[in-house]
Amino acid sequence: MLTLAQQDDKSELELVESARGGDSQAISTLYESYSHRVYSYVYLRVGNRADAEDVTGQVFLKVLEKLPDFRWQGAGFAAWLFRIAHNQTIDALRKRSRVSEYPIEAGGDLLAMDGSDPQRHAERSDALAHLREAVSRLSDLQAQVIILKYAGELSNREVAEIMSRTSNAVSSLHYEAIKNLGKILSEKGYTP
Amino acid sequence: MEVTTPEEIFRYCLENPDNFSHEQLLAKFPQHRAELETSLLLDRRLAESLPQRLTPSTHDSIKRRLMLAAEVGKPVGVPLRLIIPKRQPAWTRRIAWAAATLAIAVGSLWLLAARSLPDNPLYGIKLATEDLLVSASSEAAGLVRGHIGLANTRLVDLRTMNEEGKLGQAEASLSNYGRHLQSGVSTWRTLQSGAHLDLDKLLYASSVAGKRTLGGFDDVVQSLPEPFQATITQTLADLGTLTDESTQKLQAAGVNLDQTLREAGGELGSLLAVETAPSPSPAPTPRATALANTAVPSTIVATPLSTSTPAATSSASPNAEAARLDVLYSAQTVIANGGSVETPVVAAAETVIADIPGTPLAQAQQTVISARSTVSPIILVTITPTPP
Repeated sequence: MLTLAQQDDKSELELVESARGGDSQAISTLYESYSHRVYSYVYLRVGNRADAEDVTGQVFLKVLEKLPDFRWQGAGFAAWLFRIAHNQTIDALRKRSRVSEYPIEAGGDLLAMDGSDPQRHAERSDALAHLREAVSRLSDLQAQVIILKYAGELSNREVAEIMSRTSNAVSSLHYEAIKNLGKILSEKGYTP
Repeated sequence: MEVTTPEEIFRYCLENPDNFSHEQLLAKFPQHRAELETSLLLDRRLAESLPQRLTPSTHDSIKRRLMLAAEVGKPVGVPLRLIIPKRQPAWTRRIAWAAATLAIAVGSLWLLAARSLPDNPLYGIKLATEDLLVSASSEAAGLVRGHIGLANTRLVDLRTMNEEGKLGQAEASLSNYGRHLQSGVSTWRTLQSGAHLDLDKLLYASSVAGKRTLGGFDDVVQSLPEPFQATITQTLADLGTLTDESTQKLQAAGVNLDQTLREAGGELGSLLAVETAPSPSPAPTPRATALANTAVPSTIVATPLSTSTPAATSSASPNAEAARLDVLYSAQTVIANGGSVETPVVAAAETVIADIPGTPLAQAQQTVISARSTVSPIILVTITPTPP
């Protein structure tokens, strides 16, 4: 009997195979499943909404272009997709030639869209700004794990596949990243 | 599960295989409580704060382009191997493949440009592409509709930029608006009076929409550069003149002006959505009147501007326009590559025309697709097989 993860993999495998065969509904479903997660990941890497939107669009066009070459292995489609997102983000950052990979954009610019009440909006905006700044001070590997896990909503297994590391290594990086984030935020006097 | 190290404890608490409550987990590992509490709290905050969402309009726009790209990518019409004869020398085949790749790259670039606003580097490509589209029309009425349609699209761009607080970056939009307005009006004036009532209505409604849109920038005009302000002033004056001319023609034909505005559809309808008639209207603000009357010849009386802020356009309106352009160019790509007109993409383009008959963009679309002509070299590189 398949585990829940295996069942999810199986249904996603069928979806991806349909998409490879040109099934528009399958392509649409994959986009709906991953669009916000990819955007989250890209946004936290490039730091502004406009660039993140453009890169997100490019990611999915690239996915469509390369879908015929995709072979299901290891962590599956999500890992492959986010590897493309990672590469497209790197390309965008190189072209932009900015100094910092994590420029801080006012959280309110984005959170204004969420329709929450003003106090909640202010709290979220504040939390996002502090967390993003703290993440930018982690090592590249730790920051990558945090962004993939929380913005990309990926499992340790999927993150490991993307970063070409073992799941245990990712768990360790995750733990160290959380500890360091706690220290950084404490030094800034911010309580999450 | 035996957990001993802080890392293992943390991982166990995140996975929480036994579905303990937060307090139960902390109580389970009292010697690590302080660190665990902070770590679990951070985990929760990260999970709450880091995930972001695309705006609905951007989400839909990206999806539209993705689905169109998926549609265009399907094998249609003449397979490439039949376009490139088998016995071609290798170097000609390489050139043909390079040309095909360039065409796809440019097409993808265009797809990204189609939804751009003035603050996007691809906006210039969008404007240039639209110029090619409108110039494809060979008859005067089509030119009028094409130019005025694009002018109205610029109004939507301007309004969107203003809503985003970026009006100062939209000078290119205003300049393009003025150019299309002038071209459309010039051609309209060459037409026989009374013979094109639909165009008279279009010009009237568009002039009212222009005045309302530009008049709605009262709050920010002062912060714009002087040349930009001057252009707005002059454009408002021109619109006043246009309103008078078109009003005279419509009244001579016994057309109800209010109804003309109410019947305006598509983008024009959304631009006029706040009020149905410019007059009788509330007294204009002093600034609106000043802008409208500056540099106006004494024989022309500016129509009072609306004082209320135009209602927010449904997020679909500017994107609906971009979507129609998407469909059009995808259809052109298929046709230019020798594809069948029976493909879903071309059928979709024709459906777009059928859905919104009579609008300026629809007329331009119909002209281009009906001509079945190859798109300008700027858009596509045509693969020409060398005779054996």
